[in-house]
Amino acid sequence: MSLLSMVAGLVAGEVRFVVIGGVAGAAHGSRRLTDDLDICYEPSPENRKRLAARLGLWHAYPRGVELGLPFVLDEVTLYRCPMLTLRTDEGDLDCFIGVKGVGTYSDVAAASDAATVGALEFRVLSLPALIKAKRAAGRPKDQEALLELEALAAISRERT
Amino acid sequence: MTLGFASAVTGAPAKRVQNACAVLNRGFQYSIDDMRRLGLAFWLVDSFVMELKWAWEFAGQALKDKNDVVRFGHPGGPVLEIDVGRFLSDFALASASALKDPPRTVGRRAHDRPPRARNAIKAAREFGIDIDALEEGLKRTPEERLRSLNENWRFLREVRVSS
Repeated sequence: MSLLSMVAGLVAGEVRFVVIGGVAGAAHGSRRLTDDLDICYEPSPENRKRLAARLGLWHAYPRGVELGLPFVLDEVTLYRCPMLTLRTDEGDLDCFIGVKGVGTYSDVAAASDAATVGALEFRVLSLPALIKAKRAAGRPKDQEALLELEALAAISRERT
Repeated sequence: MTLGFASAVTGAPAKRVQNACAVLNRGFQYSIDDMRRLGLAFWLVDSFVMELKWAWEFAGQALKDKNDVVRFGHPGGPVLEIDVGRFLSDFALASASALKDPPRTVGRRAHDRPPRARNAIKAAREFGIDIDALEEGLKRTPEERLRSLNENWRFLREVRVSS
């Protein structure tokens, strides 16, 4: 159970996704801790089915909501609810079909970089796209993260 | 719950929630039970062009029923079928999203976007971000940084579980 085991599970389930949010920031050098994995997934019927199957294996349930309520998690739920805030056996997972400031899944995929951890290969949102997303979100809690990401981009520019 | 939260979980504009509560004489406390029922009533209104008061009654009965799919009607006549299980799943997900990223409180000014800093490193340092630590971190590979985040995440979870 960990952030990377969740990524590995999604890769093994052949889910098409891009890691966004804090974990993507960490890949680019952010030192902020994050307690959940944020992904943007391709909203095609086949991919929804694959993601729903994986979430079912992990007993996903809406986070922060009273336990024990009737809950159906299938491709129809994914179709009807574009944003999922879930607690799973593997950890907390948020799923989106787009990223504000970047665009839909295809824009997000186009603005992503390859990441490798051991034999695990996946995509993470690029640093410039993460900065765009944080700026677009415009929430006070994102301000420190935005300053850090912009500093990382400036340091990288200085180095090249 | 706030009006913004009620609007988020019912999937309806705030004005519609307020108007519905006034029509149904529910007051403006926006309890979770009322909003669950109202969310289902709105779905009935939109799907079957039903009057809100009728939809409210059907929603109340459907939510009391123990079955996932609830049917109203007479044998041989038209049947109203409500997939309550599906509705409750959508409602739970909308609640979870609203809890994670609470809607803006009505009347509060929208958050300003921070201005672009001319010197990002200076701006970050002035904010209190440790630039030396960032530079040190950048000497590691993305894989090393992700592994380190993963270990820290595991450690934090263990601490949380044991506390």
